[in-house]
Amino acid sequence: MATRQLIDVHSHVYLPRLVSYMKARTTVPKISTIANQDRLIILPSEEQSKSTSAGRPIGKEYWSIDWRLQWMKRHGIGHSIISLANPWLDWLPAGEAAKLARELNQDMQLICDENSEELSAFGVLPLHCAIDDVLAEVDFIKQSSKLKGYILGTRGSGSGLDDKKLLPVWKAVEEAGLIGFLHPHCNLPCSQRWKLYS
Amino acid sequence: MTIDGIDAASYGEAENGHVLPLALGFPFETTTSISRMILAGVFDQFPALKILVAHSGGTLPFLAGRLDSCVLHDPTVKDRLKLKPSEYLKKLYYDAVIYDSTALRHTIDFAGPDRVMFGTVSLEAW
Repeated sequence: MATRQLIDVHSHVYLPRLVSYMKARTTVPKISTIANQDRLIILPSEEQSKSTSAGRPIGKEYWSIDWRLQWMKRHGIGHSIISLANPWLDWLPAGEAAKLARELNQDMQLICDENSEELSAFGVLPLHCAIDDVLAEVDFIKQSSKLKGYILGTRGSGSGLDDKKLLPVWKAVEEAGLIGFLHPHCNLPCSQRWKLYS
Repeated sequence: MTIDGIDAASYGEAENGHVLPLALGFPFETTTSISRMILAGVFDQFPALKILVAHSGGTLPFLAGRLDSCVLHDPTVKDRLKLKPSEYLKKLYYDAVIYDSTALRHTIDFAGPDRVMFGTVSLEAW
C-alpha cells in the first residue's frame, strides 16, 4: 500500500546563487548587513518609509537546503516543491535575467536530484526577456525531471498576465503540461511599483 | 481610461510597517491578475493551462460570485467568455496558506478538496 505523505507546495528558497547576487547590490532588491545581521530589502517602496526601510532579517532558513530538510523532518513534511521567493528575476535587465534563469533552473534541478525523495521544484521563467529566451526556458524546465512547473509573478513581460505577448508562453506551458505557481509581490498598482526598481 | 488601484496614498500617512500592503495589497494583486487573465480569454484559448494560485487565491474564492454578476451585467464583456468567471476559477488550484480556518473551509467548498494544496511558505525560523 502506498504511504501517505504531506507535500508542501508553497516552499520558498533564495538559492545561494541569488543570495550572492543580491548581496552585491546597493539598490532594492538587495541583501544588506545592518548591525552584523543580514537583512532582506525587496519590496519596491519599502526603503521610502521609516518603519520598513530595514527590511527583514534573513537567516539560513531563507537559503540553506540542509536547514530546510531538517525543518521538513521536524514538521512531518515528506516532500516539498521548492520555488524561488519574490521578486524572482523580474527586476533584472532582460539579458541578465535570461542567463540567471537558466543557471537557477540548473541549480534547482541539481539540488532536487541530490535530495530526490524530499524535493522537487518550480523553475523560473524570464518572462520580460525576448520570447525565444522564455520559450527556451519552458523547454529546459520541461526536460528537467525535477522541475514540475514555474513560479509566476503578476508582472508578465511588463503589462500584466493578460498581455497578448504572453500567448505563445501559455501555449508552450499548456503543451508541456507545466503548472504555474502564481504568487504576488508588488501590491497595487503594479506597473508603477515596478518602476521603483529602476 | 484610468482605473485607480490601491496606491500608497490609499494606505494613509501613519507608519504601519508592511501591514496594509502585505495583508491587503498582495491579495488584490493576485485577485486582479487572475481576473484579467479570465477577462482576456486566456483560459478559453488554453483550457488545459494549469495555475496554482498562492494564498488561497487572494480574495478570488470570496469574490467569484461578484465577478460573475459584474460580467453578466457589463455590455462590454458579457458575450466575450465561454464560461462564467467562477467556472474558470474552479478549474484552478489553490494553496491553503490563508491563515484562517473559515477562509480555508470556504476555499475548499469553492474549488473542491482535490484542488486545495498544503503549503507553509517555509521561511519561518525553526
